[in-house]
Amino acid sequence: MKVLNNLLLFVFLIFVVGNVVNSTSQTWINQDVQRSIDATTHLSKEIISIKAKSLIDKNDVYQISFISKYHVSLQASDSQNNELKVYLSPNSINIKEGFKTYNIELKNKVKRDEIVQLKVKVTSMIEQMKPYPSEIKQGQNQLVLYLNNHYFTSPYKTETQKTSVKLASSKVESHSEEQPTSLKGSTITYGPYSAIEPFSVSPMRIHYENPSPFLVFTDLLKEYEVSHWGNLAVETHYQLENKAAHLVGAFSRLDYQRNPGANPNQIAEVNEAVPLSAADFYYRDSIGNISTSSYQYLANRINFKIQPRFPLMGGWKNTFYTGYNLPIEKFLSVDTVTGQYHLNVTFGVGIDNVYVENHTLKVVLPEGATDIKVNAPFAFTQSQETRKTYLDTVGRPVVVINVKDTASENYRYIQVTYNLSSLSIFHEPLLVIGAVFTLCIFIILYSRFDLSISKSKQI
Amino acid sequence: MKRSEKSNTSVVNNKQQDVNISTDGLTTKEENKEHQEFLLKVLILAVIYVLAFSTRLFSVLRYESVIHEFDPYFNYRSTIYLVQEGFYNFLNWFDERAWYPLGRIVGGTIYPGLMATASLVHWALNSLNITVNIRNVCVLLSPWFASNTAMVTYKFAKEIKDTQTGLVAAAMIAIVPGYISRSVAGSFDNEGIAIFALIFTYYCWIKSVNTGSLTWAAICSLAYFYMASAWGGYVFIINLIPLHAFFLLLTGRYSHRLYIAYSTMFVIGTILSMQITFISFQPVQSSEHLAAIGIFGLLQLYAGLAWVKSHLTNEAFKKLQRLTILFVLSCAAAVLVVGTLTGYISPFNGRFYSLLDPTYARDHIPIIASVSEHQPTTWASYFFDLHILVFLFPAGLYFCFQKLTDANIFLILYGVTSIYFSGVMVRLMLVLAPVACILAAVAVSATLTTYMKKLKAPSSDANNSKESGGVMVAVLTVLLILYAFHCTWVTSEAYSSPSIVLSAKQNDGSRVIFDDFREAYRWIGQNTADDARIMSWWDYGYQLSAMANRTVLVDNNTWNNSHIAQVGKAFASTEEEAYKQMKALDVDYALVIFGGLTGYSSDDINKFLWMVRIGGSCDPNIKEQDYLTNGQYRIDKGASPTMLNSLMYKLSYYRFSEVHTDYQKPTGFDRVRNVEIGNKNFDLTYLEEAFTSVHWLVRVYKVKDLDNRA
Repeated sequence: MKVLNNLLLFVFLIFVVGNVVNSTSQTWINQDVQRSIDATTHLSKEIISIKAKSLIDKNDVYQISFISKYHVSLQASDSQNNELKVYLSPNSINIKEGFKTYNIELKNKVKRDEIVQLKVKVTSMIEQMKPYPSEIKQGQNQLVLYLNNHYFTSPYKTETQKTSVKLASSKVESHSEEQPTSLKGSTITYGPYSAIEPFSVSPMRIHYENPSPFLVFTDLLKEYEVSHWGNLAVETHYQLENKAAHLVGAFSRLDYQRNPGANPNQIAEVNEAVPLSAADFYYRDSIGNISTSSYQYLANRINFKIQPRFPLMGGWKNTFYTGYNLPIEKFLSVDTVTGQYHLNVTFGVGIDNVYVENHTLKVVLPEGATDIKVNAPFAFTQSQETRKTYLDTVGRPVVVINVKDTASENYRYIQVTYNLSSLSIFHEPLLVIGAVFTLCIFIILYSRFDLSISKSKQI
Repeated sequence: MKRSEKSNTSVVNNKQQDVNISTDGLTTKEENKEHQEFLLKVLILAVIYVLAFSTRLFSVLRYESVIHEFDPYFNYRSTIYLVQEGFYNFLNWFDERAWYPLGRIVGGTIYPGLMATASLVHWALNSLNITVNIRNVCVLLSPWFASNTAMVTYKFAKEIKDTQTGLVAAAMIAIVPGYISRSVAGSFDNEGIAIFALIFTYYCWIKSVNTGSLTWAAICSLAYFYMASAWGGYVFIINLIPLHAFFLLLTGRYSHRLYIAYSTMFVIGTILSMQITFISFQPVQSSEHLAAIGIFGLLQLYAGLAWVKSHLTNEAFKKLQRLTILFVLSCAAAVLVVGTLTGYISPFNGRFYSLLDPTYARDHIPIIASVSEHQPTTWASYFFDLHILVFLFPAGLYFCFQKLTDANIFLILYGVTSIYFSGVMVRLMLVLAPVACILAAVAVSATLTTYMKKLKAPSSDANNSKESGGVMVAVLTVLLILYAFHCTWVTSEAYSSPSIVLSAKQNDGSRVIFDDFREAYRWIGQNTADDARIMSWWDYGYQLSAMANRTVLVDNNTWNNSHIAQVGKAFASTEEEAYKQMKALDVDYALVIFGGLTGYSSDDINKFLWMVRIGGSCDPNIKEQDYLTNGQYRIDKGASPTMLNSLMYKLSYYRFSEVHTDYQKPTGFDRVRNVEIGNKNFDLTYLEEAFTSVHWLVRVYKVKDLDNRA
């Protein structure tokens, strides 16, 4: 409860500060904002439809703000459904204390008084969705505290706005009110509000029953190994943690087996969507093979059912890795003009409602690949290493891409481009042929030479 | 000789008809034949090499590439440590995660040969950019060494008799179940490489005795060093070789070759073996090594006297001889007595005693007696592990006696001693298997040589013998084929289950996998505090520390009997008493193995009497009688109250009374003991269930922190 008080106080302070200081220049005015928040799982999935009017000429950047301790993952598009570039504003800290501001780059420069329609998808978890109480016994229902802002957090003035929150159940313990507010079934509607000043905050706080497990990968490492012989090997290392309300007291296998549904916040299996052409699945951890996995073919994908060795109750962890092979031709293309190779692969894992704290992607390219470039529709840090493995001489270049706190990025494609001499494919067979040849020569020479000083008699 | 080469190949390959050599052919033709023979030999050896490796892969194909059983898990964990931390850190390794709160000095209490070999292989492969991980190296090391053993056996038998014997011996040892039991893929244990080292040492020894070459004697001591670094069984070598030397002396076969071979081997070998931290000064202090020192002295004396003899008259020499022998004997006796009294020379240890006197362990050391592989061998298991070798063994001995040579005497001694040891302890079957193969090979090749000659003889000779030849060859062929089938069957059925993963056949023929052990170990490893201390019976100590990476109280390195007794006592006490003991030992979790739901019979309830016995060996309050009803071990209503209220009973059967295991049976029906449990619906006060695996095989309980209540 104390934590909650502090939190509220903090939010309140921000609210006060927000009203006093206002340093950003007003380049836009939000005419109408509709927010629909999906809080049915452990993620807060917010879709914001914005109708904004430009106040200046040649306007090409629209800004959107968030309370700075919320980790968000963003995706923006315009009315033609073009994906727009989103990045943290370079002077985000200076714009407003306690907020972080992202820039959305528009496709075209906008004239004064022109109206632009934008759609922004915001996914966040950790700070906004909390099990409360944080510890429950086996068989108890999980309650969750959802925190947000009643208003659309914007560096611009908003004329009218409305927010609807869809909850996992209609069992709501309590919810904050900012008139007009209405609760209907499992949906709470806030607003419409009009003429809200920039950076206005009115803390939203909903305490409701949410049985969803809090599936979080504290660490996710996905690795693609490119072979020009036709294979793309995929291996993923997961560090899974169920951040739902922690289980206290005994874990009774008997009760669990009698009624597995009594603990909906457990993770008994993880379903990963895998491309249809995938084959040779494996699923292991550091102590060996895990036999409890299966995959089923669906119309457009394979559903790879990963069942951890034990069900993950609230607060439990597990680490494991999976892998499979893909035919390379669907993912690798060659530019006929420049001769460059383009590898198009997904950045993350095809698991629903996934949240990754530390997300790393490694792409192992064939030996001799040069001019390696990475294109991704989101910000990332990139580094490079080399790996020496079977039949390598100088080692393969490995591109390492790291992003913190990803959600929607998981399903995005990234592109790796590189140059590779067409002869380098013969490197490995030549190496083997050479080795066998040398061995034969050695044996031939060895059996012909007689290095003894005198002929010794056979015993 | 060359003709019998052909007969031999007919055994291994069952075809090859045209290697008949006529001695009076052209030189080019002869050379050609020689080349053919060489090629054939290489081909057979290559096939044996592959066969020895691949027959051990059943478990990898059927299950996965995983380390088996218990001890291999420790070896695996140490290998990982060695690879990661380097050799010197490994030698200085103090493992604070075992034997809490005592810890264990690992570097000084193990034979590092196995880990060193595995990490060397790993290093070599990885420096060639063949990125094999440590686990796969460890899993496949034993099969690879088995292949090497077959090759060394070929050389050994060839040195003792001839090429064809060598080939037969190699083929036999490649698939002999007695050896496979310890060298299947995944059984990453000392014995896996030790048998190779053993045979190699013996081969070098015979070679050096036969040639009197210093080089071979030096190689022999190197091989001995490798053996000493790998397995405690090196004591067998350092007693058998002196025994051989002694018998050669007795039978008047003393030669300078023997003198050179023994002196070199003993001195260099002993010095080298003392470099192993675990062995250190034992070769000069412990009684097990005394024979070697004695024979060394005796050989010097004998050689010295022989030299003096050549310079003295007969009478003077006899006087001198008597004096010297008396003097030396009394000196030796004095040293022995004084050494033993002052404790400088250690008496035989328990394991060694139990070798000499099979009943010793049962009466005195329950911890040794409780291990199934330390039980005396039954006749059935001889046949199971050796099959036709059991019958061919005496025949081989007969052929050896027929033509005594230095090497044959060694083979006889090796055979006789190892058959005795294998009778004492079932796991020493491993030492018998190679010599049984060689002796059987001697028998097979000698018989075949004899009868094939008869078959090949011109038909104008007596017709009778030709028929008998045919019958004999046919009988042997059938026997060998049966042997091959038996070996494969035994390997596949008995020796290829990893024991960490269990499997059972369902009624419809499909296989169910019980992966409960790893499930629970994984849970412990991921979801308990990093410094949590787990109390379990010692069988699971190595697996817990390797797979769960948690601190354990006792493990399979049973070096501290009283500490194990503490754990046994805790399991044997009532919950309240046990709680005090567990708190005193800082236990956070207690782990029991329970098979009552699935019918897994080697669970903790079935091992419980050993816990009571071992616990009772340190605390007289724990009496085996209290846990029995009229001398019977029961868990149903008729069981004694002490039994029904013991911690082990409660942890195993907690809430089991609410489970229906079989139709038409009451709840709480134990499928291993086939009875309804006696104590039902009890609650735990001081512990709470923390985790139970899906088939209830592993149950983990958390020791509660109770408030200070008035």
